Amino acid sequence: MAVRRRARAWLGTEALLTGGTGVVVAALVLIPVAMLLYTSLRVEEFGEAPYFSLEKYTEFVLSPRILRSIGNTLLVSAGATLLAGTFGTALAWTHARTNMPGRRLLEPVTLIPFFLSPYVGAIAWSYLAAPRVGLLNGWIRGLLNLSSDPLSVYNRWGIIWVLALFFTPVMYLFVTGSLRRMDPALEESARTSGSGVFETTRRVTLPLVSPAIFSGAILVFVSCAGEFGVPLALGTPYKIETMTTQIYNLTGGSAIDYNASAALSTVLAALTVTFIFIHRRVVLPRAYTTITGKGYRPSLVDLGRWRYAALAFNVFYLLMAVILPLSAMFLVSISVRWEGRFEPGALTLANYSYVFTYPLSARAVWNSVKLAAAGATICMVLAMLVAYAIHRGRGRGRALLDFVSSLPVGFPGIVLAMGILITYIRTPLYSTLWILLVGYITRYMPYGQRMVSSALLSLSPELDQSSRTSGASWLTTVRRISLPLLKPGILAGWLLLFVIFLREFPISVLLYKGGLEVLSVAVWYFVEHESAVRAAAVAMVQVLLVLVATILFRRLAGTDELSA
Amino acid sequence: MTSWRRILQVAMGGAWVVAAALTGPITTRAADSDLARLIEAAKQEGEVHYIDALNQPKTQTLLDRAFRQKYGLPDSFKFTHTLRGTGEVVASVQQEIKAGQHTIDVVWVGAPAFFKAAAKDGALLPYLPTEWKRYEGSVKRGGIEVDPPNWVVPAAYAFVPVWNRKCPGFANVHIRSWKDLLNPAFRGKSQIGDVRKSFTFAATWSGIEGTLGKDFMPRYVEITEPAIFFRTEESLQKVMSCEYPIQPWQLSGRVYQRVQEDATLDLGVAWPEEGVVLLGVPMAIVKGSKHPNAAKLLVEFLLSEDGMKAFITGEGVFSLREGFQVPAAVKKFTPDVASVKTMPVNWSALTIPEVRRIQGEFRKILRVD
Repeated sequence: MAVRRRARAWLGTEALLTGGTGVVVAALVLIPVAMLLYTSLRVEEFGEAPYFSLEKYTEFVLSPRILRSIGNTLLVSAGATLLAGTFGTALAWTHARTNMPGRRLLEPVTLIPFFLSPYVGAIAWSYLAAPRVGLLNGWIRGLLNLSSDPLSVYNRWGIIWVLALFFTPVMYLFVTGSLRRMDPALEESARTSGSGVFETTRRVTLPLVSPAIFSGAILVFVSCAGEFGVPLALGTPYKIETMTTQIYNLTGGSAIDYNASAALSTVLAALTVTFIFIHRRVVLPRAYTTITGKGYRPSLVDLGRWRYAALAFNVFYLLMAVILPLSAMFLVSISVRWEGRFEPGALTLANYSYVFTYPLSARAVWNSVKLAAAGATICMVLAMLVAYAIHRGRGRGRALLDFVSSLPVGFPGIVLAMGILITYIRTPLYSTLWILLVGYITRYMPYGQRMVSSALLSLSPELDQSSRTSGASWLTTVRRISLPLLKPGILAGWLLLFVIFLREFPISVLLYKGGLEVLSVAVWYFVEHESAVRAAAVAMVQVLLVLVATILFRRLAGTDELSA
Repeated sequence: MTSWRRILQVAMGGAWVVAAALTGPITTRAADSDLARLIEAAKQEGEVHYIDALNQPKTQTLLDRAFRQKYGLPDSFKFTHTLRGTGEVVASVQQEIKAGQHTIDVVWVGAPAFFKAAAKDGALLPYLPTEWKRYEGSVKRGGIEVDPPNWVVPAAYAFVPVWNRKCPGFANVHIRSWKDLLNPAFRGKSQIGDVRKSFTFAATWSGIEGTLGKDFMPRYVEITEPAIFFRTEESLQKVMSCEYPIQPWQLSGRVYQRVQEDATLDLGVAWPEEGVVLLGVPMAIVKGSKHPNAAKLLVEFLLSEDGMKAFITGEGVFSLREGFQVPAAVKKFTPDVASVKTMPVNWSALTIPEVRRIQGEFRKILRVD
């Protein structure tokens, strides 16, 4: 009897679905990682017999040029983290804890860069601050009567600047969540003890939110180290290579070397995973308890006249991250040709007409929408099952599944794409949209899982238990109790993934083949093979699609779904 | 005796006329029937996919139209083209060869070292196009390496200096010699092709080194501090926008294409007196291709008069087909290949290790990783 009950438990719908999903997710994540490691050790020159060696690590990765690329990666990531940390923390504080005017209005706009493609941002900034033809350079030169260009984004500072602008919202979300949850009594005590606004902020507020700042900083650092589009656009032509651009060069240059690419990918993955590990082991346990049992509403700090300075800073950020780049992109996209100045007499919509009629870009729009819809749906189904297995299941491997399913967060897109390419190249998935779909799901499923997990954790398990003790099956309980309650979280997760997939670049650029182009690939293709004006038009199409999806996301989810 | 000789001569002459009359049409008929069989087989296969690093969308439209028209291919026939950078083309094909997964039927790219390695590895499908004999003469004269039936070279191009006369300080620029590029006025305004990613840039580097000396390129880099661009289209955009108004290694065909679109452009093209590196663009069918007959038909088409006309009208590069009439609009930018002075390159020495050595040198001189 007991054996039969145990067998039924093992073979029940819940066990089969959650266990099966666990195996699928583990396979999706672990096989490409293992293949990457294997390829880095198996040296194979075209037309020669393969052999196993550590030479790609000892000779290639440690060569001066690769060490310089590693140095560049660390430098731009650290610089961008510092700048994004400063911007994000300042914006979060002024929004969450001060009486800065227009906070409610500004918040949704401040988060726009979170949803946009940093690669598109880099291209837009090249229209603003390229030598000789940058719009900003032209304006400043004219205004100050300068003979040379005051700005250039084609250097490490330019990469840091653009990365920082686009990762500021990540910091903002981490810090603002923590600030909003903080017990104001702590600050009030400091102030009644005689501390001023800034003294209290420095000595009480900031230390209390420091775990959130460190968490955000680690995530920003890891994301910047894995970022591919920005250094590709602003660094590679100007002699600055990072690890991601080198990985790409090794898969597409005439000195193609998959083994070296896999070795460098492994090193980059080791670096980012180490930071994620530090975050989990060192930063997370240090999070201070700032939420107490009593009801509260954090009081706002009166900034006095400084509140206009805070507003000016927020507007400055929006100008730099949203208004100027998107305006420049739009102006270029409606120009007949781009020569660094806007000619109101030479405007056209022909570039948009070209984008929608040229087979590659028209196909790219459709491919992106298909992949985004299918990818987001599959991801959310998997995410729900994984979250259920981890938070509601009784299996032994829950901690392991939690670890494995969140592993891709630490893997830069291009690294995982490299592993996926090596893994699936000999399968029928190769050269189909399916390989891109697998890439998207593997890399971004944790984002969906996080959304479902947070929604699931806010539901009492007693609801499930009551349903089950009333005789409902697991499937009925999920369908009639959990799903309706989780619906807002699932929809928000779906939309977030939809937006991410619409702008996805590093995985797509490595896995696409002719006929499988997506929007980001089309932008890159137009930059390399077409004119600047048409590239701007296809980028604007991507931006518009992303913005529409973002507005829907905000309507459904609000900011809290994104907050850490 | 004389009469016997006369009779014999007449008889032999008659036999020759009969033989000529018979064999001529028979040979033509045989070729025609082979072609007809190829067309039918291609129709059955229903599609062909080629990858190259040159053909712009407009050129592909011209080729698509002419290809269908010439062989009566139905609308359902799928003619796919992928345009990637030279290195990326090679990477994609190598990737498929290694994996034994073939989506590409024909590869056409200026990377002879890759074709040599692939032929040695038995990765190419030998096929001798019937039109190839019309190319042999100019290929030989141009010193271009070929290995028929493994790979043929129907077209070529050369990188030449291009600049924008509309940009400040460039109205009176005249380039007659490569040495005219060593001009401090071009500092920070010049470009260079990315040798790290391209066989053809590496070959051009090698040819310039051979003719102008080892110190020419380092001097150019030192004097002008060039930005590095890979794709000729992107690089020309930078010239047109005045961001980087001069590029020493650009395709005259790209200038032709842009001027066709916008006649107000004022771009200078120079054919330096020391000569240029003539870069053959090899073409081959990949062994294991899923559409071998359609691939053979495509190769036949591209080497035919009609195919070459569509290709040159679109791209404005050199045709190696003897007797080919270069369109007048193209001639303004790209002269007849026979009139071009070339710089010698030891193609047989330009192997993959040699290309890597040049790329290493490029990295060192440009101080780039």
